Amino acid sequence: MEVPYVNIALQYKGLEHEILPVVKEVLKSGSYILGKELNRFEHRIAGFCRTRYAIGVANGTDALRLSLHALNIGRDDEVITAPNSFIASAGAIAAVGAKPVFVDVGEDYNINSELIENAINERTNYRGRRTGSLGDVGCFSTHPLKTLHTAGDGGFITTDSQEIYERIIKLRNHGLKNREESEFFGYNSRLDEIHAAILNTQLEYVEIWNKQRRDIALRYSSELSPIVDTPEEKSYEESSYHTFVIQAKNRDSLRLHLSNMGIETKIHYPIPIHLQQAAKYLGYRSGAFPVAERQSSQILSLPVYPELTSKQIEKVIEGVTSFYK
Amino acid sequence: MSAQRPAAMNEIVDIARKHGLKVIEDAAQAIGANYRGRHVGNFGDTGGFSFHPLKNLNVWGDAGMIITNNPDISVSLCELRNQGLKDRDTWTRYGHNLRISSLQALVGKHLIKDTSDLTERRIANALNYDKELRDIEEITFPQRMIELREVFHTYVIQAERRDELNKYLNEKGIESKIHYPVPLHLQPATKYLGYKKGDFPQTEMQAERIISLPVHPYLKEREKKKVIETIKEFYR
Repeated sequence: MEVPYVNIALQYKGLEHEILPVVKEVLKSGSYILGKELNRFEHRIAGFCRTRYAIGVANGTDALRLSLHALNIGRDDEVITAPNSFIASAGAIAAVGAKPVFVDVGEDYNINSELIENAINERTNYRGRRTGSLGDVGCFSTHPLKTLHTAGDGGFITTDSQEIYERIIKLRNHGLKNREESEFFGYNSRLDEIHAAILNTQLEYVEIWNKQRRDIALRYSSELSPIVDTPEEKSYEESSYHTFVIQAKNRDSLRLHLSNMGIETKIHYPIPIHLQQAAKYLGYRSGAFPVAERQSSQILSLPVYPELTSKQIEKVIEGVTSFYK
Repeated sequence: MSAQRPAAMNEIVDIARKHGLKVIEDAAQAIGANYRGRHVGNFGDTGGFSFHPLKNLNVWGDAGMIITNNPDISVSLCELRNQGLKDRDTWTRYGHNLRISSLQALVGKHLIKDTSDLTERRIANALNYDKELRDIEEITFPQRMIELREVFHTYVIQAERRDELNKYLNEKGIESKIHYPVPLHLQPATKYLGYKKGDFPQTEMQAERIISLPVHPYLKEREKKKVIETIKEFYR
């Protein structure tokens, strides 16, 4: 592949001289779980996200699952979410025994806030938000494909609520309030020290990486917007462009054309969640979410990462342009 | 299954089969343990192992493994650990994110070859304790049985005046632990199940008497001697 969709190994190569020593320090310390690297990461990422608390967990799916659990969402509850995301969102809701209720998305691929109210009833909890004293939680993944990532699965939860913070701290570690006593049944969902140390190293670069991604994205937008649908950014938004998703006519032929030129692309995602076998029991049919379904047949994610060379970026632009000539 | 000693698995499996029940073996601490020559985890439908840093086969963070001889269960588990995905785009069931990272798998793979040797050293340390502590009246431990290969993830004895002994050992610089002082049915988390003190007299009695001595494979001769001498001193 002349232009691979991602190139994590290349990013690692640039950071190797920083990552290897901190990993070595962790290994030499003999403290591999719930140690000082995690503590440091949690303080720093809370500062980065401008939130009072951050809690490291095993992965982004668990960030959702533990948050739902901490908010007492379970059997008999309904949780509103979007049908076009990775399946982990609805999966986490199902894992705590609640029912995923989908609401269609808007042209920006996010849940359409104007449609949410129609889906609310007395059993509803809107994902990540709940009225009352508990407040909001934020869930993040540090999976290798994410901008801030580690060498394996990882994630974290942010919150301003002390009550939720204290509950999640116990939930991720078997519900233990001290070595001997378990206050409630919990999970084993801890962010390993090795991963926390790698994240601490990467945290120094996130703003630079985000800027580099944005620069590439803006370049794509200005060159490609006359030909295909490119993401629009409202004046009050600043997208981090983890993916750069276009909508294109004859998407599958375009993808093949790009692939023939050595340009790797992905589709996030070709089958909406409500049409997956796992969601069959929820009873949704094709046509239930027209916007999400139409988008799933037109969307295409182009390579966008800091290590892309100008030559590669030009190649992508040329690839898309030449297809529609 | 206790910390290292296989339970009476044949009997348990017989009971389960008679009643049409499944058996999940919690072999978290028992890598290398055998019951009548058969490795634990092979008796039930599945066997679960932990690779936590403190385990006999460990990695450098949290991780674990499931073994099974059933191909259907194996396929299910592979999907379940990866969000219920059959392939990148097809989601067959609700799953979890429970993947062991390549980094930790590499560590585990590398350490497998050392596990037998390290386990032998644990067993030797344990049998040495057995021999040296046997004559102390205030101390008891389970009879060792020929059909069991115990791997001594922990070395647990029952001791008179346990808390005093624990304190005494700690004061003398010997790190002993209690696995575990509060039984599950008396934890705040299980209050809703309605158990009360006295429901499981054997467990409760043991919880007050058990103490775990250092048994790891890197113990030095003088450290082992010190543990034994200090216990003897305490009961003198």
